[in-house]
Amino acid sequence: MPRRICPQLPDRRANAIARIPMQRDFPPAQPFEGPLPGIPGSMVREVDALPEHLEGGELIAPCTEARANALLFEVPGIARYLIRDGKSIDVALTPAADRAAVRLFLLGSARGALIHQRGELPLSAATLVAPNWKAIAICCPSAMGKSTVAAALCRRGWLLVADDITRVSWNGSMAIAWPSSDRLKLWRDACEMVGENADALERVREGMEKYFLPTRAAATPAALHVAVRLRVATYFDSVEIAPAERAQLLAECTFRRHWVDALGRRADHARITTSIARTCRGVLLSGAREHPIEELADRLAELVR
Amino acid sequence: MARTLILVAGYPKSGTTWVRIVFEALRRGPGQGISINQMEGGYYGGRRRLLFDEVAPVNSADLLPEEVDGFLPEVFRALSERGGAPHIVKAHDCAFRTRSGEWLYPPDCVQAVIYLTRHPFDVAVSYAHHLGLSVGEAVRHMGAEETVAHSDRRLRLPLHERLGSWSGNVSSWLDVPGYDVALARYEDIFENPATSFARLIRAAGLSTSEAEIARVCEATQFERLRSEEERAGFFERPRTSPNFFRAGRPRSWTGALDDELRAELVHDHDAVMTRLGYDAEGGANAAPDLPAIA
Repeated sequence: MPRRICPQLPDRRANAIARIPMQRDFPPAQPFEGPLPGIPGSMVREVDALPEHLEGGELIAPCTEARANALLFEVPGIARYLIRDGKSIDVALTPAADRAAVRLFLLGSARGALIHQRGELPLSAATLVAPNWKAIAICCPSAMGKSTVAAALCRRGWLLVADDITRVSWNGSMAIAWPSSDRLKLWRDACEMVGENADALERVREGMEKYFLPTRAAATPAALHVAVRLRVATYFDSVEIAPAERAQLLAECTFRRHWVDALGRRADHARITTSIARTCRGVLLSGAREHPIEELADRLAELVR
Repeated sequence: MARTLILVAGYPKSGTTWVRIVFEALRRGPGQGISINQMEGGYYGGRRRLLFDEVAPVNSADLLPEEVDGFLPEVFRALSERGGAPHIVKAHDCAFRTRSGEWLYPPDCVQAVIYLTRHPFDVAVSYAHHLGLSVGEAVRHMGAEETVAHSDRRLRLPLHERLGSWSGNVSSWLDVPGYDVALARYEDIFENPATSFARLIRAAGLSTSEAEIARVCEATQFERLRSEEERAGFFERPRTSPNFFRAGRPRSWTGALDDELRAELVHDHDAVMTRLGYDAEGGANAAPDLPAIA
């Protein structure tokens, strides 16, 4: 069961704390060992090999097998990942694999599976804390610009909580977004869009024009105020989701929703989305990709005023 | 494995969007409205990325193009097992095998391939408009064997595509074993849509009435599609193009393609043009590879 803790909400000291570099990641040159960023008590281990198939598991998707509380997936040429009991991730690298790519999928899909196994919610979202300490989860699939607009908001003094997948738990009275990242992944054109020189940044992996942009980041868990689902449109439109429909919005924004049943977590998923929906607003915001990024950032800022 | 995918394939600007809209409307059946922005399926462009990210264990945005290709055959197999079949899949890729030796579109889940061609003169002019290139640049693209439609600098919403050259794209599909390929020329469909679509519908293994085909053909006339795009936009329009539906009429290259570029296209694609009945004057004649229009 997930450990329930009462989170420290961001306070005025967070700005100062956020300037202190935090151990949130795995340096690719070193063995992958230690807890996952933002998930205390979890453990990652680099192992020599993993079984080709998951005992008692079924094939649920390409290169993905699952059973209750265990999921095995492979990225050919990179690594195989075994995620168990919401606690551990074993990773077996393909010989000569790009270790930066191994880390990418470890902090992405493997971490997402582990959050599912804990009965918590992995939201496909970049989450930030606004200067008024309200946290906003920007939910949308890849390529719609959530990291780019997150970078624009960070330039306005917002603090990054998580990029790509946000771990959200329920502490009995509020939804908690857990900090896991102090950098955003941006493509070269997005770097230029927010005034950053990509050539001065660390590349996400070899062969890809995608870079890590260090940002100011939240040091403590944050109460999630609103989940915003972005949609591509030529016009701006903002629709507040009725409380009764918020859980559905959260379900639709769940990372790899179809893994839930295979992992035996259907009841947990329904429970946590319903709980979060009690205190977290839901908004549909149309206008992604078709407008200047600062205009989209303005619209998001309006939602937490 | 369920053979439930119907590929509507062809080099860009050969009519695949039009035919896909017609097939999707026919698949949905009578009584359904027809709108270019309310078509489900297609699994092309941004929707293919969404499908990929839903099914594959890792997101396409974190993968190199060859790695995405490696997952795609299984992604299409997963799609073929879903309810709501058949699934219409639009494709501009040439027929090719991934690094592991698998066909990108596994024949064991493909019910039929509708392969569309259009005179390369018209393709060149339309493709230039589509990509925001000069016509000369579009002609070079059409002659390049390794053309991959993607960008290194930014993440496009659509997944990348491996087009090959215009000739290579056509030959790859017409000569590949393992698929049931029905070839159709844009020019023939334009001249006689009801008859052409009836043939293609049969070839795809679908059954529908003549009245329904006539209704859908009427609703998907080029001018109607263009008018809807002017009124409401079209979600598949690339940013590089002011409008997706430009000039549906054959020989719309006139005035936009000079002698030199026409000669370059003929030089690059003469064998395949001859095979398809496309002459050096921009016309479409009878061709041995094409079935007679009933």
